[in-house]
Amino acid sequence: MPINFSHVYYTYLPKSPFEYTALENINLGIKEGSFTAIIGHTGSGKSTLVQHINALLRPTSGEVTVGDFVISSSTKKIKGLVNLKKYAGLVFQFPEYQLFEETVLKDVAFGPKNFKENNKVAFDKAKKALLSVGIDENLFDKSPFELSGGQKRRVAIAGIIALEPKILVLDEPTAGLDPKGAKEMMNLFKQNNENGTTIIMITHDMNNVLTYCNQVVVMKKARVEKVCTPIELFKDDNILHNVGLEEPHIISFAKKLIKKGLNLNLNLIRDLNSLVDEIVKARKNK
Amino acid sequence: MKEIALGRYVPYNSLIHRLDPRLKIVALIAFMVMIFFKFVSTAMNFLIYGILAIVIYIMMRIAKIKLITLFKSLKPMWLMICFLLIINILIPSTGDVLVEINGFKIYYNAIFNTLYIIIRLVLMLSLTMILTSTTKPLDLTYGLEWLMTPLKLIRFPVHEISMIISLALRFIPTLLEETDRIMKAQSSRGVDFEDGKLKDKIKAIISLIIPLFISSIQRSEELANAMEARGYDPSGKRTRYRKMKWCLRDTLSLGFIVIILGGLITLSITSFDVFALLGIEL
Repeated sequence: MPINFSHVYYTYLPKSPFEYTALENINLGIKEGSFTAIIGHTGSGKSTLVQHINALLRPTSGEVTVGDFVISSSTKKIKGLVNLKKYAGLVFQFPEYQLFEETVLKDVAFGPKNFKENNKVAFDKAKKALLSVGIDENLFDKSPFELSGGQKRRVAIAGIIALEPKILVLDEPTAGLDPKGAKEMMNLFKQNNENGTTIIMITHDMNNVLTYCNQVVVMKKARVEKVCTPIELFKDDNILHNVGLEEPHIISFAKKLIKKGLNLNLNLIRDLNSLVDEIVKARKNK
Repeated sequence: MKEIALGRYVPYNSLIHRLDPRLKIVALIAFMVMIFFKFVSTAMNFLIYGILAIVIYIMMRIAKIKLITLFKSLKPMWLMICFLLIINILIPSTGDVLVEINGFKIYYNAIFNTLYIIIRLVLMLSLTMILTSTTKPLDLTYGLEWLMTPLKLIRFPVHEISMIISLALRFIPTLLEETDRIMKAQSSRGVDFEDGKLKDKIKAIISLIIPLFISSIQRSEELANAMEARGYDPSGKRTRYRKMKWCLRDTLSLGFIVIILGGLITLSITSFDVFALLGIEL
């Protein structure tokens, strides 16, 4: 298992009036090559959880294992910490604020250069990453600050993809994007996932969870409430209600059809196409 | 970055927290003045510093400030203190000689002068810490605005200045949060903020400063637009939801400060020397 949390606690500003426990006894394993969604309300500890994956935060107690790296409260200096950052790339929420170089290309090449790649390799990797996120070559020499919001987001994400991480952690990558841009973005991640990258994504969009992910981690009040597949989660009305989640449009539509007497298999429904297939099948069997 | 900055407001509910911000500002100024009084003899100076230190320590206890936070903030000042000591030793002085090394005299005065400066620094630091950690930044600016009101007569832009101060104070935590965010984002891209060669360090700082500047400028523009959209007019008359209320405890505290200030002024002017009076020879 490339990522494993065992008994992880995290407290912000311990021993002060501002003390706040963001993670409580987290035990969690994430398999290699999975596409995992982390969902939960604001303040449930999602962002704190993912920042442990590349050791931006160290657990107050407990242990996090990422690939060959072990992060615990007692290790003062982690051996090869820099390599961990390359192994597990983290894209923050609204990553466009991290842009700073003169040109788009230089900004994306900044990451690989930090990991001691020579100029040529860094620029090659940057170009590849930029093209993969759908940034046209004629934008390469523009200042990142001239781009539109959506383009900035793509460039910022390319900045992490250019590191070629084995694990890609995304904090609400589609927040604030237009629906078309968001869909393209999700397809990009899916493609990366099919090429072997483990993807962990914080999201509020249940439709994306259903369509793209194969594992869901539900967080509630600093704890992991449930780990399951998306369809198991959306079938279970109790937990949906308990955590206060809204089911994806397709699932609520399918559930209504089932109530009206159509015999659909919820397990097979992932997106619009599979829903249509199921409906056709059910109608034929009637 | 997440550590509590020196003097950050800490929401307890102590007597000092509840005092009127205007009084606290006046008290700070009064104590600062007292720290700089000079008395008739060295022993007298140290005695008064001792008394002031005890008073300030009691205030810190009331305000629930731990001594350790004060000492933590003193850490970076060691270098300055050593520097001060050296300068004071090098400056020609008069009076009794402490030691003589190869004809170079080190005077008692040099040591005392350094000690005075250190004591003054520590006391001033504690006083400011008491003020800022017991008063909300906004209350502080309201207090300042009120105290500056007479300046309106000479057309001093009191309201504008206090608005600028309160906006600046308001955005300190936001900026800190932003810095934290950008540092984390850049360190995910392989930037090492802690060690590395000078060249790498400069690059690391640039990758932090530029995004920080850009977001601050954007933020200020958005804020200006939002203020204008709500019809902000600096010359308009404003009312307040929370009014500052002067209570009995404020009057009592003011009386206490006036007594101490008056007492010290008298001691200083009359060259009063308690040691001479008691016949203690030093």
